[in-house]
Amino acid sequence: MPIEKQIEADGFRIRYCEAGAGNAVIMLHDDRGPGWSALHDLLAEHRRVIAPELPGFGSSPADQGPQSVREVARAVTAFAASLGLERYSLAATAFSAGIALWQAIDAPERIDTLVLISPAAILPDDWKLPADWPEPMAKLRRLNRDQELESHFGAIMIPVLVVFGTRNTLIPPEIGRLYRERIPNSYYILMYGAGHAIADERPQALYQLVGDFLERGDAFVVNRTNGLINP
Amino acid sequence: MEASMFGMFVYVTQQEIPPGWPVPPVYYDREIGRRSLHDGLDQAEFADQLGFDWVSFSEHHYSTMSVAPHPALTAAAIVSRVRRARIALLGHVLPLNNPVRVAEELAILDNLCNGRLVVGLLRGTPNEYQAFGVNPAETRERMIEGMELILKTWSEPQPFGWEGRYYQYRTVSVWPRPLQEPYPRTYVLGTSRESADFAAAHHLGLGFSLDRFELFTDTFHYYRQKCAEAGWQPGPTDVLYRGSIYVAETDERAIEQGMPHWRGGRIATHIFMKKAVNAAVASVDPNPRDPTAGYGSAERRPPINFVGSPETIVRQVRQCHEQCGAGVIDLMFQGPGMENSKVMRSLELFGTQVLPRIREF
Repeated sequence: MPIEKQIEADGFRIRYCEAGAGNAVIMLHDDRGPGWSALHDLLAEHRRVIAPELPGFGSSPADQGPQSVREVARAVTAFAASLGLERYSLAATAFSAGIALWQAIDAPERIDTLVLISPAAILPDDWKLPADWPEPMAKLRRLNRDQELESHFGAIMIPVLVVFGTRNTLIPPEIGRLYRERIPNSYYILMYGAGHAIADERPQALYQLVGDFLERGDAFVVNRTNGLINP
Repeated sequence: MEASMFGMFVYVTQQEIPPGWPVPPVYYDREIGRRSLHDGLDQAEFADQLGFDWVSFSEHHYSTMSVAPHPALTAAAIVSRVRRARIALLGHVLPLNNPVRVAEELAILDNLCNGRLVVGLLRGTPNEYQAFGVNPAETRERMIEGMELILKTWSEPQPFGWEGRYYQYRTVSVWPRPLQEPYPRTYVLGTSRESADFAAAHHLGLGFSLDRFELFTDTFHYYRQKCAEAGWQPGPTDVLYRGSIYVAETDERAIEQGMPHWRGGRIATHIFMKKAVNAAVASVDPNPRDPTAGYGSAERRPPINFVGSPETIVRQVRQCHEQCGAGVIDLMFQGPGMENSKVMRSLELFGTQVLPRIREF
């Protein structure tokens, strides 16, 4: 079970949950707000999993939060520094992908690998913000395409994993190819049969993929499953 | 209406071979096998010359029913001899194959035949699952997932990975791409609701086979309804019917010459497994396919689907079109044990006297 804690970082008091030990992965929550899923539990079996509540969500005062995605990213970087983390991996779901990408751009020396699950950092031109999306997210998301963010994609050199469910009806999974095109060391993976909430729909498959990527980075493309039937 | 000649590549021998599957290779005569293969290629070339719209190839294993178990190889061999007709792969038995490999083979073929490829994907029969050690219970899901993966390999311009339930690839980036954009006309060959659902959702055609035409009426309407729900209307050639045929100058002669090859489910003589094995398949498969179902049951599956004089065949094709909505018929001209000369004569009668009259359907 995760332990809930709080820490001061960059002028914000950030609540977070933590479990496991080993190399750290900071998991940024999706638009539904902070939560702890089966994926968190599975990853925590082999590494230290830290799940902060992003400024503006939960008990954080919305009106005092950062005013841009890049500012949120700086707050998360400061949060990691407050925890004493020198290097870590980042895993972001849906709208928090932009936050993770800004961190990879502004603080590349701290990030080992980046995982983007159903990322919403690039959205189709005709995409409409769902009416029920939470206010903090609605406030930060003003454009479907953030040209400033995308202009830095070519400078991201760490391994980046982009995962879309083949049945994602909220964001077309084909958007994944745009990340693959623009981020030099990125991988675009389709999770068959899953929709937007991959961690809910195929947690074991997502864990195996993400766990493998966090452990091995680029080498995750090499199959090391034993195929021997009988010695 | 379009017409296709299904290249059967039947192993034609006078030797008595005991029924059952698999057929022991000890019965195989190398010269007869070679000739059977070349006869099949000659039939495809002749069909093209007669004006058939397609020639088609399929996958069957370990049986006298076909000496061409790899349809892409056979199709590659015929590409330079069939100059006009479409080359139809109807098709790979998907649960037995690596879907990425199938996508590559089909893409090569589409380029080799300059964009004349038609694709059909099917689930296969229980004996064939045995041939490749595939759990029968997984075949339906493997088929659906494999189809989705193949379509993605053809349409995705960037390298991608696939985390499936049955297939996992971290790197997929198929070269060559099919010549036709985004990919060749593709059919789901199956009569289940899942097949119709998948075909409708992905704007694909649907293929029926062998059973009486009217038994597919409901599935045809269900498919059309699902297509409408998906926002499109299937065209006339989006429904295919595969059946057996024998054409002769008169009805009497067609029945006398053709029927002995098809009567009593003779085509299945070498695809039926032992009863105990069939029972074992049924016990593990939540959606079992009984390979013996229909054979010998006139209500469900006639010994031969189209038989008679050209006049009679035209009438039967019209019935097929009206009852199951087919705009393409894929015809098995070569019955079990049927020598090449009979096949060629039947083909010629169809090509010259039937084909011109079914165009209007």
